[in-house]
Amino acid sequence: MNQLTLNEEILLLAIWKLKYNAYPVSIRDEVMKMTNRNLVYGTLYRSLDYVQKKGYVVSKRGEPTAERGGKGKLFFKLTDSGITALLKARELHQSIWDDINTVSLENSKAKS
Amino acid sequence: MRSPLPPPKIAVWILKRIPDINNEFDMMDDFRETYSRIVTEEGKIEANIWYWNQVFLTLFESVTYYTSGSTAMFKNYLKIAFRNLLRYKGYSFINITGLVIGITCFILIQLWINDELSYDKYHEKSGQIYRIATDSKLRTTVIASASTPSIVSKTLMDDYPVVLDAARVRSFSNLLVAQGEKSFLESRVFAADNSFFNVFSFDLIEGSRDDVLKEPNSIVITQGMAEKYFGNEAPVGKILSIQDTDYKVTGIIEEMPSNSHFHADFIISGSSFAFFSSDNWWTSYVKTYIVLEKGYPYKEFNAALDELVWKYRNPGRVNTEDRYWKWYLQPLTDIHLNSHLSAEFEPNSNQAYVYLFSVISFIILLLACFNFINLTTARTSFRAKEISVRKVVGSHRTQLMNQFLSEASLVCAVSAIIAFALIKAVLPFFNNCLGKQLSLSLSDPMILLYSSGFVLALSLFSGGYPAVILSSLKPTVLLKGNSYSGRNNVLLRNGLVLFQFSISIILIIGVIVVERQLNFINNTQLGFDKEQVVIVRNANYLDNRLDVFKEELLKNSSIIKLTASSTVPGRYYDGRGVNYEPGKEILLDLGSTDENFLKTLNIGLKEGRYFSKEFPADTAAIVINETALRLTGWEDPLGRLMEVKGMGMYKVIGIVKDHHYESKHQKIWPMALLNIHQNVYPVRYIAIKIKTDNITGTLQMIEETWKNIAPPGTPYQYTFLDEDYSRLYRSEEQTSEIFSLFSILALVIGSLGLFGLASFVVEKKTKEVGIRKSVGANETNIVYILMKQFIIWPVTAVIFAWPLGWILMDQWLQNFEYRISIGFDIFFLSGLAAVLTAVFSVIIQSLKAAYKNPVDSLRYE
Repeated sequence: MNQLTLNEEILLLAIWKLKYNAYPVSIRDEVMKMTNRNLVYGTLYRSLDYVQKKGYVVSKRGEPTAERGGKGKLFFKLTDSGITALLKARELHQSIWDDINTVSLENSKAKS
Repeated sequence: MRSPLPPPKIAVWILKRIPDINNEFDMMDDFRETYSRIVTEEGKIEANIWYWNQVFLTLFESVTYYTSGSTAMFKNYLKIAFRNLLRYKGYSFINITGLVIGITCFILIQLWINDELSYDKYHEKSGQIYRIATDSKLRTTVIASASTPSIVSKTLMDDYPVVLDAARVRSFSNLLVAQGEKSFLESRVFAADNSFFNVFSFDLIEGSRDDVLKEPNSIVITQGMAEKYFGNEAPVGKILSIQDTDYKVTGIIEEMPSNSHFHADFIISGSSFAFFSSDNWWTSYVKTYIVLEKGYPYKEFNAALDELVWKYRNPGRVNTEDRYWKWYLQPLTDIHLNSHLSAEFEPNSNQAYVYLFSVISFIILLLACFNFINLTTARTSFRAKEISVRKVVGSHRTQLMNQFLSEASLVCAVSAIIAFALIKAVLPFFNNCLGKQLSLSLSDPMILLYSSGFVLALSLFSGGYPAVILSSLKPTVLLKGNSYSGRNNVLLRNGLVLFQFSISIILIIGVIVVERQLNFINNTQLGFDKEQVVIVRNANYLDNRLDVFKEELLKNSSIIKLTASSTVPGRYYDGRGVNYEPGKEILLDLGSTDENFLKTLNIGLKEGRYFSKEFPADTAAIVINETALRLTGWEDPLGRLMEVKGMGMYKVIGIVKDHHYESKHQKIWPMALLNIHQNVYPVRYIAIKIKTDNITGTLQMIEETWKNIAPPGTPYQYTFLDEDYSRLYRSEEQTSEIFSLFSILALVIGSLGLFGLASFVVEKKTKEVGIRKSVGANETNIVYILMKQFIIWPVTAVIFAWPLGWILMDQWLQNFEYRISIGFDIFFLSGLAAVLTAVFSVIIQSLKAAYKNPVDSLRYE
């Protein structure tokens, strides 16, 4: 399995955080909260499609509701493969940042 | 809970058109949910902004998503596009031909327009250079001239600091330029101030900008002239002799670019001439160009010019509505397209033509595209099987769209390539006709970029609609054989054809009107006879041998009459102010002639008499025309005195009938003729009326006589008066030729389109024709039925075309003082031409179909 891109990582984390309430609207809100940037629906859909194709998430229709005119919302859930990918990503982050002293990194900025 | 406020409808509509990714996501619902939340949290406006923003960005995303397929797919598309191109050879040929014509015309016209708009812009200070022009009205005499007295320039420089620099320029008509053995008559000789090269950015190959024209009797020449007169020798420092005066060559410039409003081969220093240092406010006319500070609002400076008039030229006199004298600024870059004053260096073009041709170029391109759209969509039934099979097998709609877009792109690309090759081939000829230096170099990356963009845009425009339509058809509908005959589609098809026909009809009307107007101008009464009149130029070289020359010629029986004069109709008449009563002035165009002028050219005399040798006092006589008489308001003009400014008093001895001494564009202005024996104007021309038989012999005889009598080395030049005169209309004639050409092209494209459509319709109706024939219809009936459809189109088109055509042509005719009226026969002719074109395009197909054996037609079951 390949490495997760940062955007995929954020997306999967958002879906996991939302537990049973992960559908496009809430996923978008969560990602926006995590990254503090605007997210376009089109991009979101494409990313969802992609991670689904890769097998990291599965989707399921929820119960029909009145708001949606009889259709259920489309909910997303992490698969085992997705969870593994996330854990691996975390491992990678930790290992590459492990021996970096963030203080001295900060101090090595060019003075003014 | 449903939001009570719906998102903006248009945005919703756009969103719906975006193909759902994977068809799974409930895009509309998700959008709506977020929208409602933003409405409650922040308000409707923020919500709408958010919605539109999301829509556009999502659109962008899905476009990138769909076009980021692998190259394998593209190669496939192209392969199939190519195959289809070859399969439907006939249609492909029609499409490509139409597009080639459209693209070629479009680009050629755009190149021309680009050139026209670029006149005089190459000067560094072009945004700051202005020419001073004269605008004056004295009751009914109107003066609009490009010239100003030479003293204006110096005064402006002295008194107004906002004027940074100024240069005066003056042109001379045909002068004899000699160097050693070589002598030629040159027509592009100018004189200019030393500041000329500081105002204008002409490249000096040799010579220093600041003082190349400082010394009197210096001259700057072009590279070409240097070669002509000095061959390989370095010309700087050498002498050129002009009109018996020597000038030292002090500099060499490159040829002036074709996009300039004047072209000089020789520039003499202004200090060589007295009139450049004249301090007279009513004479010594030159063209004055000034440079203003950057960003100075030039219209405000006109007030300063008014001050000048008030202070110096007409001291104390205030301008009124009926009687004023104004000097005003013309931006340099405006001159070529908008200035039509008298005394221009060269005849200028017209902004209207730029607009007109721009519109025409787009129309022709549009016509070609419409053809493409029409033909492609009409052929749906042929592609039906292919499309439906593809859909059944699993192609996405977008894949089909891409397929058709690729086909359109291929056609456009092929047409563009052919068009560029055609343009390269035709450009030299084109340039020759128009006297320009247009070029289209494909090695220039900018041009390559523009062309690619152009082809792309073209493909999208022509291919877009058919692609959408063709890919949207449902397999069930297609396989059943119901083709493209939905209400909307037929409407579009008819609309396009109607548009094409209307345009063609309007163009035909235009062509006919322009032709007739030009003929009218050429043929109506000029007030003098221009046929069989030979004009011998450079008569001033004959000096005192002039009379000998005249007598010798008169001995010959082929010579009917002749006259010597300073000018002839169609050439330059010197405009001067004339006081006819103390304090009252009119501007007269002056020429001077001998006693035989009126008789030779058959100009009528209204009152009094013309000059005669029997009256020695006639040297101070003047003959004015009817228009001039009207302006003076005199009832008894004969014997009255007029003062020609700068020249003296003259007695009116006769009134000459109004005749068109200038082009018929203008109405006849006041003019007068003086006696040549007074020597105010030199004898330039001898106009000879000859008999019609053996013209070549007569011409030879005149030439020999000249060679015998004129001093050796003087060039013999002659023209015919009628040829000269028609040169005034050259620009109109050129325009009308170009216009006719493009009209024909538009018609050709229209016919191509019709032809294609006809083949399609006929093939569709094969079955119907077969059935009709087998139940007894004869060929004529069939042809009638088939043709009826097509005739309706041009007939309907006239409803739009006739009124529009009339309006446009009426507008154009306003340009002319004397114009034809647009008769009904013109409309009839144009309609007829359109109908005939339609008939011609479809008749072959109709006949073929009508004569087909029903057995063959019905076999298509």
